[in-house]
Amino acid sequence: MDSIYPSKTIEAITNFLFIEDEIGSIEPSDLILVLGNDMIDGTMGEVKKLYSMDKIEPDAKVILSGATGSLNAGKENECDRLYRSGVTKFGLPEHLFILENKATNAYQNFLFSRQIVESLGGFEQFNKILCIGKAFMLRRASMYAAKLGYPVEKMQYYGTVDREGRNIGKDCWWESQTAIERVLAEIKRIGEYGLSGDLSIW
Amino acid sequence: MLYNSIGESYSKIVHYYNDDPEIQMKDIFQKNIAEYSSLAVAYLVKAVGCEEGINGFARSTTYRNLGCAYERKDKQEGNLGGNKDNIILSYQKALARALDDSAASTVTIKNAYHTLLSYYCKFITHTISGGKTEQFTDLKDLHLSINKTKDAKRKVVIIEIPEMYDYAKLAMQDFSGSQSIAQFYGAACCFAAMSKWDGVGPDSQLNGGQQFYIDEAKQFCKKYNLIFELGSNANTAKEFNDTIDTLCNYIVK
Repeated sequence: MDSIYPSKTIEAITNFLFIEDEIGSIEPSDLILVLGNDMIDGTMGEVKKLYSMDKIEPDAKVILSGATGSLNAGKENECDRLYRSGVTKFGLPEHLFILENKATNAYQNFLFSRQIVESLGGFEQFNKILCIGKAFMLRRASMYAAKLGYPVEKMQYYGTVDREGRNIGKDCWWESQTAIERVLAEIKRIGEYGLSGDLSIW
Repeated sequence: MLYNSIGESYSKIVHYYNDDPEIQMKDIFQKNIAEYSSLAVAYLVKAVGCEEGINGFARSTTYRNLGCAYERKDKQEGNLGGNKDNIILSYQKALARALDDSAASTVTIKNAYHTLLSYYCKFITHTISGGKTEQFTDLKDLHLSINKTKDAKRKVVIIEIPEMYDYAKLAMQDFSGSQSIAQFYGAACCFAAMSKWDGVGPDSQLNGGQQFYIDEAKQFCKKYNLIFELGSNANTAKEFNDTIDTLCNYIVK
């Protein structure tokens, strides 16, 4: 089968960064961590899709994590906007959601969400954990998760792509200069953070 | 343990970039690739360190990955040989680990020999040709450059030739029927003969005279014709053999 990638360099970069699971292989999950970002409706639309496909169990705990990122300082918390979109726009049941409103970066998303999980009885209370976030950030997300003691064997990752915006998906990131810059910067960042001990390498 | 796999991922990106002229034209990739090649080396150095730290025995493949990362870094910087000592040491350790490991497969051991000999061959060819080529078979058409073994770079060449010769001989004992190993052995005989060019040679480390190595190379060509003809890449092998023959004839003139 022909590769979808225009070159082996692009393929090697994609394989390094985009670690999301294929939607078909995601197992029903009872703990969901949604990493806050500025693509509010896009993200909650994906949550709705996963819920409708039974990838999110009816009694799951869905943590919406994020205050405001550095680019949106002073604006309404991302977790509040995600919640409103999920409930009012996509009709998801209110009881699913728990809001985490302190995190201002990806590391803190995992840090403060873990505190919530601990208040719910710890990771052992859950069978499968699904992390939902921007597709190109999931490699780093998985390394934060490991560093903070999330159970690697229970973790699954689902990537979202802002198709109307920067469009940084594993099937197209090389098509725009902005997306290329973001992807290459992310790869560099992982390398630097990893060596400085900010990410789990184990 | 992710150090090895992350280092290998960076190294792969650099490897493909080095052979991808279209990507090389793009400024944004150019700006980042040097950092990726440094990260590849940094992660693999860590990987080796961690493995040594845990059980005192880093895996053969981790050392091989480290050698590859250094090699790709040199290529990306257009500086073949810049990390020569690190590359050779990494590949030598990869081979030593493979030979020491009772669970290592024949393929792992053969690959370890092949990687080391291939780098020696590339580096020595590059030095002999005054930087014109790293393809051994190109030496056939570069007789004038071969005279440059007598210039300042010759000292560097001499240091590596006896090592390559010794490793090639060992490899032949373990894999006498292998076409790729045989090619490198022939090349090593050839280099040994060439290093005796002005009668000084690598002295204590290569005991035979020039004629000894020429005879060895020529005997080798005769003996291994069959392997080359039956090998999976017969044309390249024939070219390799012709190069050895041509160089030996040239040396005695």
